[in-house]
Amino acid sequence: MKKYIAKRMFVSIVTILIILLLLFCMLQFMPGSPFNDEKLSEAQVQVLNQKYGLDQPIVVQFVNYVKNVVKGDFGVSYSISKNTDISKLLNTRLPVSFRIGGQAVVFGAIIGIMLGIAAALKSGTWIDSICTIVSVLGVSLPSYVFALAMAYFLGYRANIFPLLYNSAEAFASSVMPTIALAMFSIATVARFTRTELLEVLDSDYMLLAESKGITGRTLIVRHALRNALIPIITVLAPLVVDLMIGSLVIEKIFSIPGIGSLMVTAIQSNDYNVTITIAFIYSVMYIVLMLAVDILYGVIDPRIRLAKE
Amino acid sequence: MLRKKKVQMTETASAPVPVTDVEEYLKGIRFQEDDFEFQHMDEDLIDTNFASQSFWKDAYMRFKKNKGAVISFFCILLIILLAIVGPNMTPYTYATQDIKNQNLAPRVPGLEKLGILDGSETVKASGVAKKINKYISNKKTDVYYWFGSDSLGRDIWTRTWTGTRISLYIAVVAVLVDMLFGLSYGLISGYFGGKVDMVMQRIVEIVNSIPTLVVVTLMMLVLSPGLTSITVALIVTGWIGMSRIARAEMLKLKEREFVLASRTLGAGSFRIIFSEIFPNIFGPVITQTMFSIPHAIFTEAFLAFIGLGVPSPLASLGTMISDGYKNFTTHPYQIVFPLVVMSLLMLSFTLLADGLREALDPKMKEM
Repeated sequence: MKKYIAKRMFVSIVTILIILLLLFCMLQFMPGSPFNDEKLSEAQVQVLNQKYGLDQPIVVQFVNYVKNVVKGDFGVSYSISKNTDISKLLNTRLPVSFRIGGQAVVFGAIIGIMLGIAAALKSGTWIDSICTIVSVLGVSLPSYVFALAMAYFLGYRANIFPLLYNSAEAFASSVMPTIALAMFSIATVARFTRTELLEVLDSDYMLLAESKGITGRTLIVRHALRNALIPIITVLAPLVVDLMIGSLVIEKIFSIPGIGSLMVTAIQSNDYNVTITIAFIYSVMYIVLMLAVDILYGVIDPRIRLAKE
Repeated sequence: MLRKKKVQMTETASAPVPVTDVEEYLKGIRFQEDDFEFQHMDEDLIDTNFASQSFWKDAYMRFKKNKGAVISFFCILLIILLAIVGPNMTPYTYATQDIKNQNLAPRVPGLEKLGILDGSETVKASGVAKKINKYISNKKTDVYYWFGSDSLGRDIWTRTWTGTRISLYIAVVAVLVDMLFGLSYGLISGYFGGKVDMVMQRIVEIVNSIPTLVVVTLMMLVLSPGLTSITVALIVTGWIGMSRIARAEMLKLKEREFVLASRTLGAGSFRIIFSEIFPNIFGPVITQTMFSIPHAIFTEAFLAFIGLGVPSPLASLGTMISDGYKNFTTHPYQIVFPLVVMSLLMLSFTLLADGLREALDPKMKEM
């Protein structure tokens, strides 16, 4: 197991380094230099280059860049708010994004699992049909369809929730974004839970448990659910990533001051440094999540661990 | 087929005696010629349930049973048809601007007399909802915008169907990327195995561990926004799902006897991969292709939403939605039509893909 974890961690670190290299190259190829003030003379530019280490060989520059990133120093913003440290920009925005994202994951997983269980236990009834409809809609429609529909009917027409994000009533204004973001998770988790649970209910060990006289709640909770819910961990990680991506659009629609909307603004105002930093944060979150899921899965299910060693 | 009609009992004994010997018992029964008659002589009996049918006929039967998939198929056909003829049905082009006719509500000849889509809209001014008809107040009674007009006075009907063309183009690109890149990559990686597979799979692992939309976004920054860049972005990210399916199928099949037979007969790798194994994995390949279409359409819409869509005045469904959302509370019709067409398109492709999967691969577990 230790060998497996070590191997997975090594691969993850290599991947992060490759991503950093890609981003670094991208920064090099972007038009313009940090010192494109026409008033600067040739000599002054040279002094500046020397000061920031830009006259050194590109390999050394890359090593310095990695060192800075590890320290949490991503450089400064070019155009959104000039010469502000990006880490300072992120400080206030990350918590907002994390809170809404976290709410959406928890809400999506809980509702999805409950819907899936209900559909599997009452398969063939109207509950099952509702589950099917929700999962088809949730999987095939982009999250902003739900966001816009809710914003129009619940926010604008009925006036139940604030149409735009308002930090004074942070919870009420996070309800609609959370639901919109969670729709895809609800759909995927519900579909997955239903399939897994139906398969488990059909298995021999369930028949054995039943023939031993276990019935009702104990049978479902202790024997069926435990085995059915393990694979759901695997779908949760990609879901979190979809959620991060969805947050770009959702945060824009509801004007939420998170990193998603910051990235959209950065893209639109050509602030490469900010864009690349946020892309890097998303990638790292994704890689860490995948790593966590792989390790968790190995701990829970010994078959995976043995197969991969 | 013989069936017993009636048996004439010629037994004379009045009281039934316990039967001890069958031969003895049957002796007392005499069958006559008309005791039996032929049944089903004039009918052809064919086992309709288990008759052997070709794979494609079988798949077609299964597909036909799936109502959602059939409806989706016709829905896609209808959308394609409208995308072809729609923009030519109005006097406007997608770029025709008429600033005097901005923000007009939908108005359709014929339907307007019924009181729906007659060009009136409800406007909320200082908290009071009021119904107005700008066609009448602006004295434009001979002007019709079937889906309304946008903030620059462009016809939304024309723009919606022009935009649908772009979504359909994206769909074709997604299919081609899957077929040309993903399929070959997966087949080659799976077929050769060993070191080739190791290297190729590490590449997939690394590309896959960067979120797709981050890659796409960064690429769009380097290239300038436009249809070419969107195509390139789809090529770079679209092949991974298919390569996985193709590789898994290849690993399943390459040790089978028919491959060995073909190799013994002297077939080269290329022939084995593409004319022996490929026809056998056609089902999963088609299914995966269909699933990648809605994903590609979504990617385009997403890029449009964050400002990396096709440049104006060209319209795609994504750019129309991202333009329309800015004033969707005051003029909801500007966003509803492109949104509905795109939702229908994505929903239909997903349902169609689901139906095809069940039809082509009944063994696969239902997801």
